[in-house]
Amino acid sequence: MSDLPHREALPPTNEPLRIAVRRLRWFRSAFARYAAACGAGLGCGFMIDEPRLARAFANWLKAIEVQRPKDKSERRDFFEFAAGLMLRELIAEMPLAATCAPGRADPASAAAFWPEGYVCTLFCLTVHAAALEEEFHASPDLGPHISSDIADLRQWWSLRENAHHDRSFPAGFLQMLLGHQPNWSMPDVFRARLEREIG
Amino acid sequence: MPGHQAPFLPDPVPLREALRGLRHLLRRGGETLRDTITGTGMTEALPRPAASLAQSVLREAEGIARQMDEAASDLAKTVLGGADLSADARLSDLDTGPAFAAVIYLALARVLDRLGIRPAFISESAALRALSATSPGADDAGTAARLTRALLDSRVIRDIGPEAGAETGAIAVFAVMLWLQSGRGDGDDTDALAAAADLARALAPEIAAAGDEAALAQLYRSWAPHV
Repeated sequence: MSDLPHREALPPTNEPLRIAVRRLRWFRSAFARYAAACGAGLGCGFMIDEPRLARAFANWLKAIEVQRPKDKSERRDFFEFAAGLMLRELIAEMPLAATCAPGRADPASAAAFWPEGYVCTLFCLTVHAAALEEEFHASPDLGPHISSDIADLRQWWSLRENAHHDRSFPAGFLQMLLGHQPNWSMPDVFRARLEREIG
Repeated sequence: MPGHQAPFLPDPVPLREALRGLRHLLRRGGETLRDTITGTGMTEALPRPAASLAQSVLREAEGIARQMDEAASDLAKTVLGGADLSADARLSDLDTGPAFAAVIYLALARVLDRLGIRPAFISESAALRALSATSPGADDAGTAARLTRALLDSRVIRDIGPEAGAETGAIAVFAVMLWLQSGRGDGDDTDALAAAADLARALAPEIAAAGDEAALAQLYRSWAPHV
């Protein structure tokens, strides 16, 4: 899992990705293309509710604006954190609906268990990886832990159940996939995460 | 050439507006007819021969209304001309008056369609009046805020469908203003306008809460880069 699937589905842009992703036109196109690519691989189609997607996008930008750190040295950490906020908003609005069961997915896989949540999560990881590479010439830590976490259905069951009761949970889930130990009491508060990691 | 007079060219805006008004009435009437035929059960409640006769007459009337609607639309588009949505349209075109009003008309029509609101009557004359009443602001966002108020005060959108919420007009105008301020390239207008409409719908609470021009201008500054 060190290579995220369907990265080529992200549309080209003349702007830096960190700018393009904050334009609804690019975000919408990227999400649609990514869902279509995943759907082709999984053997199912996805319907996109565009008003919900726009709401998730707007709420994501508002959340970023509120928490953006002034200290430039925290920029890279915040990049990663912003991907978790994106997942939080996508899961809360859930703009995707699979049109059928994913026939080509392993029945015991996360993609078969919750195709919509799986695609949203991989979309956030993929956009994050592409932006990180462009901005910092670095790749996210997608080592062996991510393979085991993504393969572990208990994690996805936990995500689906907990996100239902606590909208901040997906932000922690994404940080966990990226190799961090989230502050589960406030997984969507940047300052709380930073203080925990600094100790 | 002595004695030569330029041919009389009518002002196209009031004529277009009249034809659009006619089309709007026909569409509204057509919907009422359709509801009457299919939705209310009125004709079914009649005894059989009378019910068949009533349905047949109503369907014929609906067909006539549709033909008149198409004729009015064609005339408005082809004989009287109109504008295309242009990638070049910017708020700085305020002083182009009628051309800019035509762009606002088209953009509002597309936004309302995107928002699922139909039919509604959009007044190009009201847009023109709003433009002439608006002076440029300190920046594009300031101009957009002034123009938003002027467009809403002039009731640029009228007779909006009953399914629309109270704030739909404000959301639609906000979307067009966002679109005018967004960075757009060639062939990017439809996408940008759809994105502006979706974004405006997502920002409905903020739009409703923006009580004055300054707040509205700040909202435009914050969100125009994100279309």
